[in-house]
Amino acid sequence: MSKHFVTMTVNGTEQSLHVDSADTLLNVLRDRLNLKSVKEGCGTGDCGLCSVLLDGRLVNSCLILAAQCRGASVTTLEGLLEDPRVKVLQEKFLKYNAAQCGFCTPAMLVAAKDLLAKNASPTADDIKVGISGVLCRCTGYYPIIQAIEEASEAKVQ
Amino acid sequence: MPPYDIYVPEDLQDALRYMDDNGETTSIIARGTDLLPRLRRRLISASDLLDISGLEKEMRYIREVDGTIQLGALTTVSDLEGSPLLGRELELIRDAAVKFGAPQIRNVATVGGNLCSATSSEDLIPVFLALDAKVRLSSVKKERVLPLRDFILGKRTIFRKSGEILTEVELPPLAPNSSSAYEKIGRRNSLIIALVNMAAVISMEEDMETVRQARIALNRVAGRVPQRAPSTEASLAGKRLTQDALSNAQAALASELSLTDDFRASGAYRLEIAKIYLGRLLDRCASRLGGG
Amino acid sequence: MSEVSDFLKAVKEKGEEGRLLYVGESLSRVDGLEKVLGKPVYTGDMLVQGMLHAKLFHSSVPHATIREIDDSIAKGMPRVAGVLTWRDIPGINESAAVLPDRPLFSKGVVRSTGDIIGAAVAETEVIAREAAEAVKVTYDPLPTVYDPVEAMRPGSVKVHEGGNVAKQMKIRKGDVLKGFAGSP
Repeated sequence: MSKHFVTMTVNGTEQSLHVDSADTLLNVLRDRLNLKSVKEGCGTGDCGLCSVLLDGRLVNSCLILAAQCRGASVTTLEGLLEDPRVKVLQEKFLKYNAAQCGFCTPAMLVAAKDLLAKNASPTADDIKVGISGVLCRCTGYYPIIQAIEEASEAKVQ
Repeated sequence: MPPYDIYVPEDLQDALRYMDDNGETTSIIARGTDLLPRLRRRLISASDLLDISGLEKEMRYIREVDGTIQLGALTTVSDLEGSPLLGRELELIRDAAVKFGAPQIRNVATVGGNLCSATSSEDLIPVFLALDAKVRLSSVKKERVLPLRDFILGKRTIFRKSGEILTEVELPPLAPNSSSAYEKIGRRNSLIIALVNMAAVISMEEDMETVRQARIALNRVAGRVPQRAPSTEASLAGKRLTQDALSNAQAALASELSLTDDFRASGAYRLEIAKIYLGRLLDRCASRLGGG
Repeated sequence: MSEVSDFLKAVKEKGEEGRLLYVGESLSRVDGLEKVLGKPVYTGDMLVQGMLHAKLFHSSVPHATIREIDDSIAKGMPRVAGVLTWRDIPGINESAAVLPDRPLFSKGVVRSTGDIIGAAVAETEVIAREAAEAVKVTYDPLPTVYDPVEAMRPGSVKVHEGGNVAKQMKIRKGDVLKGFAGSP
């Protein structure tokens, strides 16, 4: 296995790391940088629990090799805690009990943040598409959709 | 995961030089939405990887030149979704793009990757077959352009020589009075393997009622990859889109579909859906032609 | 339900003294805030200094006796602490909830594809997975039954020694035919 030297920005901080060919961005975020909000659900891009923003795009970090991330900018929930839109989302998730076991919650919040950044007034259908890449086994999705809908209506600076 | 090396090229020329020297033992990876799960499940043996994800400047674009649409091989499905260059008559591309995987997958899955994956459930294959797309294969020595139908030879079998990289997909201009549509079905609405994925491109005569040419492509026509449906197409050519014409076309479709059962669905189910979709696609093409 | 809401109304009207703290109020989950902040530590998130990782290996056949479990390659891999099977269980080899019909690690026989035969243990998750994959199990196949109705028939292939039926309950209440006959 070859080793690669990669410098990337994670949550605003530059990180320089030696990674193996087989390391994924998910491995790096969780095991090297201790960003545990990013979860591994399947490792094959079928559940979305590892969703992060990579250069502004919502992606499954389990399908991105770390060696492909030279110069990339990555954002996880930890890097969005001061974001006013995310704070409103969190408030509404609490209000509608949209986090039961909580395992999908970070991915749902990252996906919701991405959705609202692109579409400030999503319809319920838009929201369903926006979160269609993250699986939730607990809530049945409707509390999450309600929370995101109400969050989109709130005024945010 | 099994051990392998990754080569990250400086630019396309560098990548082609690498492939010239090492193509026999190298797999190409863009964002790995198809390759990585298969590597992890040990469905393929690891060879070395050429990472082309950084070649976006040279390989990610949507251009129109004299009516021909050129798609760089690294064009993502999200790019297809949002492109103003893909006009109304090419609506089938957007139909396919919005149903593809999920947002996380659409943001990184590429046109080239989907075509090279070459299985029956690749969403874009029927789309580009119905458009008579051509693929451009580049190597250090030369470039080769061939029709997509001659590039995809069977399940996971593509006519790419060891030193070549698929760099572009070309869509020839459509005849006047053309419209298109795409449908797919799986167990749910997102993150599915398509059980039936079907594309239709219809071109009408000047009278706007008689079909000049119907191009229909779907999975399970004969082999294990999507193909065109020649009998169905022949049954529609020169006809008006009446209920009778549809029934005949559905019978032609039934005669040319390969109907084996597998663990995902029975052949009978897929046939039923395909017949219904044929009707729906023809309806939608007709209504789109009328501005609907 | 109207009794309860009348009661609550009366309590609220009484003022401070009669106020209920939780009944009738909308409450946030006790751990809700943590969860929306992405803070809870799940089992897979835990890392302890010097910990070992275990990866299970499973039966690849539906019904068979286990002829041999060859863990020599796995045990010989660097940084592998060991390979566990039913012999290593000091207590009771049982993981079922209702009937004692599901051993933690298969002992001699596997009853479905996916039955857990054992675990490979190593210093990292990646090595543990590779070691688990390197364990070679050989089987002597037994006849199979896949249909529950078929499995309930007296002559069916026996998946469990005591037969395939876990429990039988007879519930008799009322007279359905009479009820249907008498309905409008």
